[in-house]
Amino acid sequence: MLLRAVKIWSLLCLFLAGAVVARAQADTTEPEQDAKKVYTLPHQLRFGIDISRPITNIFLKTRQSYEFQVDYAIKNEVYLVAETGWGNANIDYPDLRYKSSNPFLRVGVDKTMLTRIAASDWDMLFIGMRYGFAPIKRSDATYTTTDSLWGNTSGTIQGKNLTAHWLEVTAGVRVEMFKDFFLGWNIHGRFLLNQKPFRELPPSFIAGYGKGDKNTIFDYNFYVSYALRWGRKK
Amino acid sequence: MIKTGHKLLLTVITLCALGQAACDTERDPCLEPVTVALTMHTYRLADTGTAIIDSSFTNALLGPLDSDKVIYQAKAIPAYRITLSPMADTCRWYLQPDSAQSKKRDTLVFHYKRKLQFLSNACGYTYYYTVDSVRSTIRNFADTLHAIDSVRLNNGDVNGKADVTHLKIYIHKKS
Repeated sequence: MLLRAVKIWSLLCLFLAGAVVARAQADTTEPEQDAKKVYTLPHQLRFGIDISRPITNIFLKTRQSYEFQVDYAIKNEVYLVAETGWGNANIDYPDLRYKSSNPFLRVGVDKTMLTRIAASDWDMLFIGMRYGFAPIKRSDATYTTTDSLWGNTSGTIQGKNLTAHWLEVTAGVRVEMFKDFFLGWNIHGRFLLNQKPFRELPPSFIAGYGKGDKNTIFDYNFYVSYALRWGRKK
Repeated sequence: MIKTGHKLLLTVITLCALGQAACDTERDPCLEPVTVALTMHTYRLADTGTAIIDSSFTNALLGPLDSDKVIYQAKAIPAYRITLSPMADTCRWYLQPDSAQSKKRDTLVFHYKRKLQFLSNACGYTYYYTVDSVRSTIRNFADTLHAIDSVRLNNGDVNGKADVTHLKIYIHKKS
C-alpha cells in the first residue's frame, strides 16, 4: 500500500513538473496577438518506443511487455494516436501457476494544451483519450490451497481465451530534445469495460492494460520518439 | 517551446521515474484470509425462567475428531471458529467441555458442499462451503457423558463473511 502511495505521489510530482515546465514555456510566449498566429506546418508522423518496459522486464521475472506508439498531427493541435505491443506473464507462485500472453491495440487522440509559438515548436503538454482492447490467451492453471489442519488440495483450472476492452484517459509531455527526437511520458487511468469474464482467474498481467484483476488501473509510459516530417499541410 | 534547462530537468525526472519503474512488485500482498471459518456460538437455558443466555465453558477443548490436534483450549469463550475439511464433504469435530474429563465429550458432524473459489492473484484459491446439516451427540436423560442439548444451523453459507453465527449450540441445563 505504501509503495503504491509513493508511486501515485511520484506520478503526481511528475505531472506537476510537467506543468511547471509548461508554465515556463508560457512565460516565454509572445503577446496574445502572436499566439493566435496560424502556422503552415509540415505533416508529422512520430514513432515512439516505451523505454520503461525493457527496464521493468529486467527486474520482473513474472511478466514481460513491449509498447510502441505512433501519432500523426492533424488540425488544431490534435494528434491521432495508435499504441500497440505485446507481452506475457509467467505466474509461478507456490500456490498458483499459469501463463498468459496477449497483443494489444489502443487508439485515440491527444490534444495539446500548449500554444504553439513557432512552426518548429512541437513540444507538447497534452491530454487524451483511448480505447484499448487485447485478446488474451491464458494457459491451464494449477492451484494449491493450503490448510494446516486438514491438508493441502490442488487441481487444475482449464485454460481460457479472453478479450479485454477498456477506456482510458491520459495526460503527458513530449519535448523535442534534439531535432526530430522526443522524450516524454504519459500517465494513464484505465477503466475495464467488460469486467465479468475477469472474475474467475484473470491474468495477473495484461500487456497494454496492467493488472488483470483490477477494474481501474493507473499506469505510465516513458517514450523516446522520432518524428518524420514532410511537405506542407494546406 | 521549452528551454534547454527545463529539458535537462525533464531528462533527470525521466531517469528517476525509470528507476522507480524498476521497483514494481512481483506479487501484491494477500490481505484477506485464505481459509474461511465456521462460527459456532454456545447458549444455555437460564437457571430461572425461559431466557437463553450465552454459555461458556471454563476450560473446554475443541478439535477435529480422529486427530490429535487441539484447536481451542478456551476459557469462558462462548464463540468458536472452526474450519471444514476441503478434502471431503463431511467432517467431525469434538467438543470437550472440561479438559480434565476426557470421557465427557460431544461430537459434531458437518455435512456440506464445497465450492472452489478464486480470491485473487495475490491470494490464490480457497474453498467456500454450503453446510446442509449438522448432527451432534445429545445429552439424554441421566446421561453424564454429553453436554449438548441441541444444535441449530443458523446460516449455512461459510464464505468468509464476518459477524455471522453459522451454528447455534444449546448446552443442556444440567451440564
